[in-house]
Amino acid sequence: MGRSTWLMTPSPSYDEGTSPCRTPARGRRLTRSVANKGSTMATLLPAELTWYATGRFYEADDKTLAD
Amino acid sequence: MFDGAPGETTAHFTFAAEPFKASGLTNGTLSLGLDPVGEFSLYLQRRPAGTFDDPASFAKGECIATFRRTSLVVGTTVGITASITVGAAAGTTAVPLVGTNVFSARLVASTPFEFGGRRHDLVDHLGHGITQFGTASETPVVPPPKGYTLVLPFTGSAIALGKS
Repeated sequence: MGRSTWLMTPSPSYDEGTSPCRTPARGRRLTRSVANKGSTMATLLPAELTWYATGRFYEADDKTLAD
Repeated sequence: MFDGAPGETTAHFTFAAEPFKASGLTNGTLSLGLDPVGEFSLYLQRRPAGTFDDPASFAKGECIATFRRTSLVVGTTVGITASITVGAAAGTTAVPLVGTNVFSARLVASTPFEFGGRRHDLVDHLGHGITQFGTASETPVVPPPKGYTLVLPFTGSAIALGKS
């Protein structure tokens, strides 16, 4: 006989554990990557730090403000 | 992010706001500034050319995004009452020390750009916009550039609104 077909659905706990921090089991791939998608940065999560900036407020002679 | 040691003259990414007129009120040693809704933009300067001596220099380069503040911005300046005991100015006077503000701004325009070998579009990174928390020193930078009467330094830390 030839090789048997794998009829069971692999358990998520088999060979890969259930921690999301672990890499996928051999031969399996992540269905979706949410970070480092190659040429673009990931979308920031709501309330995730976006930037630090520094600058100056300027009050002009006509009393308008800008920064 | 910088072409050399971090500083305004080496920054590849700069920002500039549309000028606005603020109003205000006081409450004891607190001074509240009321800034109307307005816009500011981010710029990519491939050859950094910003200088605090010329605020318009921060509005040069490629405009990569424009934000619009979602509402009136209330900034709070904390001061002290100081006593002057000698000279013609003898008496008490309010001395502003530090100011804070917080505002949200919606991203109203975004232009894709390439930087550092990658393609970016801030609408993809930020979603709907940002909320920024600011701190300002009330000690003026002197002398102010020509055409200006007061210059105050500040920092701002922003978080993303994200996508809904």
